[in-house]
Amino acid sequence: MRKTYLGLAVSVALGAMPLAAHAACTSPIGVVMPLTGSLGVLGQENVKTAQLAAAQFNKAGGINGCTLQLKIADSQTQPAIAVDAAKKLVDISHVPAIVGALSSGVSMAILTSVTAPSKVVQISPGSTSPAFTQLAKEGKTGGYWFRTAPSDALQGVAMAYVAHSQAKLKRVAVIYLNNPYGIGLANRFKQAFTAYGDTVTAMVPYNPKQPSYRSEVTQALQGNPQALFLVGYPTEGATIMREWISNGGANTYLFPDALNSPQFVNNVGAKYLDGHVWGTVPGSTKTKSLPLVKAAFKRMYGHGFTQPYDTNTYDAVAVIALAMEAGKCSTGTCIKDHIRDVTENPKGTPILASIKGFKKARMLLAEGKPIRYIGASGTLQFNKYGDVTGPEVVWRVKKGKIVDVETMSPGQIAKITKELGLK
Amino acid sequence: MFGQYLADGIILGSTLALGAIGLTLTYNILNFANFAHGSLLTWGAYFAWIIVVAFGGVQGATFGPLSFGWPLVVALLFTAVMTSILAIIVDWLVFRILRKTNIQVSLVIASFGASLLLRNLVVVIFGPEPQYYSENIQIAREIFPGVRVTPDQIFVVCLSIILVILLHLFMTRTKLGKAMRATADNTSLAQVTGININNIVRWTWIVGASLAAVAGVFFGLTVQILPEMGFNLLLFLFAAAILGGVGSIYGAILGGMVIGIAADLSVLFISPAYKPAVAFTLMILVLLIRPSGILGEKTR
Repeated sequence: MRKTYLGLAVSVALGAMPLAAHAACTSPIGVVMPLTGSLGVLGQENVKTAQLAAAQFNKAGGINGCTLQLKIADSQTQPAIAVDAAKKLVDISHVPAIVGALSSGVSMAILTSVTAPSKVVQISPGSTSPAFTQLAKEGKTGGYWFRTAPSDALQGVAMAYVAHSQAKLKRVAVIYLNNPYGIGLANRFKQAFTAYGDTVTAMVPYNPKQPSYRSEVTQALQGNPQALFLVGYPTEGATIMREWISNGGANTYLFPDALNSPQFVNNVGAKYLDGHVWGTVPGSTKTKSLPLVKAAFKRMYGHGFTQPYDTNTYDAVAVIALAMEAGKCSTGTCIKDHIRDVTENPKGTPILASIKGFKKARMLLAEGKPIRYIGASGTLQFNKYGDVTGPEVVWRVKKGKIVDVETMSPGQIAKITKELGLK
Repeated sequence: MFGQYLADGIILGSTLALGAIGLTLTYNILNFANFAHGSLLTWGAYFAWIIVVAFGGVQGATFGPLSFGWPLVVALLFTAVMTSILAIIVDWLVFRILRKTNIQVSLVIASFGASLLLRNLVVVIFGPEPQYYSENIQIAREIFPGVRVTPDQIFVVCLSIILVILLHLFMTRTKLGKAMRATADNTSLAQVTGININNIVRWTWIVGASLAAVAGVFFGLTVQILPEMGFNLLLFLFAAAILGGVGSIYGAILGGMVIGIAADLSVLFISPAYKPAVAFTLMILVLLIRPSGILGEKTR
């Protein structure tokens, strides 16, 4: 955008007639997601939904008369690489907003060193660490941080409930990834599980990209746990699981959102997991937008959603685009100030996630009327820390397939949290 | 628990040792730190995987308690040949030309570039997903009280020992091996006595790449096959080579073992969160006391 103005200024200065404004222009949004690395299997699919949202917006007329352009960068699930990519997007492509990343560790690095200082909006579709809420409370996000997936303050409690009440476990070992996601979820689970009067036999952190995880598994096996809660990412997670099974670990497994992936189940071996898994994953509230996005996705790619956070990624792009349209925004600060206008104005006309919906939204906004976007992942009411609440889905592995067995509503989780005396 | 951690360390140490030998050989004879060595390891694992998958139809025929049968033995030979060819091609395309300029830094940086290229080629051809030689998970057995290992892991350690003995015999008993050591000691003097340097360079790549390929297969057998595996191992391989004394083959073996065992034993005393730091702290300590490494020559 800045370049366009510069070009305009130069042409005015030279006495030439300013060019007409209908010239093809683009409105870039950055996307920093893992296409390779530990979360590559999730990120590759997630990005497709971002592309779907962008394509639908452009068919509905684009943003502020310009084509919405996604600038996609691979985070490689590594903070240093992602920060570099985000910096390039902000400094060179001048994006006012970035969708990403998936890993809490990576999102945290981008947030603290790129987006918050540069006043660029960042919406993560899948970073669930409670650490972000803390950061926002301390005022360090400047209000530029949002996420379309609920915090693990919910998932940790849901997992403890599942382990205690459904799997009937009393002694669980935890192996967790040594980053904000792993630490946040593991500690929350420990808090809730011990509040039930049960025991966490071991809390073993692991680092990504290590040549072997045998000693971590050996340490977690001490204390004879009845089950393993593995808070990790699919690639190393598969290695750790295979070591655990190979070394005769107890065969009940608790898996969080990051391991809710068919590839992970295949890599470990479905026959070892069938019937032994209890999992949790932030779910989508069944909104009216969900079937529309599902159908559009299938039309575009030929297959349905396979990974967690597919709908959350779609919503992240949609929310940014609508906020830009609503405020005629080209800066992060403007987008930040308009996001809540398009998602939670009770008087707003409900907008569904489709080409038709976006067309309607543009029309209403042009007339100065309020809108309320209904997300595909939920109703998207961001609190002042940028968090949304949402349900947690309980899943199991049956005949090699991931099967959802139960949905725990936000109210139900809040009640359990209160009963356990947690905040 | 001490025994179990020790066993875990020895298994990792054998893979690291084989990888570090190749690294130290290229450093010694070709005179540069080859960052592409990790990628040779990765390619080695994938070459072997092609054969194992191609022979996938004859599943079930495994050697006793091991998780694999003839296909993996064929694969080991195939991958040693293919990885050597790959190394020689890379040498011909990149390093041969840069060697003439005699600027070491350009070789090191070029090797880093070659490493990125080779790694991403793996992603393009084989995809970013992890792979395994066998879908089945081997159940570990108790060999000593409190020490559980899988048959595959014992195989890896035994074959590593055999390969190291063979390498020792090759370097001390054969004309070629002696010529390689002579070249490492003093290239000009070796050339004067009639040793064909180009031939030595080729054989250095063949020996280094073959060992890297086997190390890659071992890693795939005991952990997993991944496009980033070699790159992730590279820092540890360098640590092992430097710790043992750059240029010394026996130092590389010792270094690999020390790094592997120290990392796993450290879990007894400190949180696994700090495990990656152990290898490097150890390396720094050794270098402070003995700047040439444990078995490195004092002056060069």
